Amino acid sequence: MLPIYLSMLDGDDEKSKFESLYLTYRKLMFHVANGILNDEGLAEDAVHQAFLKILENFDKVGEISCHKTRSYVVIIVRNAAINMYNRRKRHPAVPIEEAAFCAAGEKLERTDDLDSLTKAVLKLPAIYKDALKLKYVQEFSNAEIAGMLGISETAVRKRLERARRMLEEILRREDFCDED
Amino acid sequence: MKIDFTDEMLREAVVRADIRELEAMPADHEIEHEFSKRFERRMGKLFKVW
Repeated sequence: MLPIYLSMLDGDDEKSKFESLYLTYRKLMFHVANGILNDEGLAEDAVHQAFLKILENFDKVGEISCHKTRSYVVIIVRNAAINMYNRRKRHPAVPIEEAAFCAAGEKLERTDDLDSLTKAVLKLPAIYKDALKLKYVQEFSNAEIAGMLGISETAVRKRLERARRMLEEILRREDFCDED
Repeated sequence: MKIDFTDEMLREAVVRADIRELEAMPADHEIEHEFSKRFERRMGKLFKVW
């Protein structure tokens, strides 16, 4: 498959851009993957897989050293690591993407609604948060997100809908706590 | 606190959350990791095919 991806890239400029992306983000990507897998060898495998996925969609990568690209590579490697984690744990008691749901114990402060919503987004499990980021930060279509995450368009739509419902639930819960 | 939010509010909140998350991540020089020869070889192959 690799030569097919590579044939999609034209010339030295694209190669140089990909090399630059590799050198700029490989350590950060390793850090993200290792945080999930807690195994350096597996984390490197996840980074490698992520670079193949990035290469597959390289036309969607803009400027290398910018927030949007940094965000994009983190999402792609996190997805690769989560998939790897789930494949190795056949019957996890709590799927890793769900486990993060309650991890952030920070209570929402009553500042403004947007701030509360931002904090609620930060509390979402990774797979829902990343789907939202691909939609709203990267501005990809559901079909593009599906290709990047290796899931169906229907699964993307459901993930985005569930993310919204979870946000409402978090806000409601925080609101309830405030009234105590 | 409002429970309902518009699509535009959600967009802004996701962008803000993304910035906060990335800012909290370590800089490259703070990540101590020497990539294995196996990894370097696999990535090297990828560049060679070009």
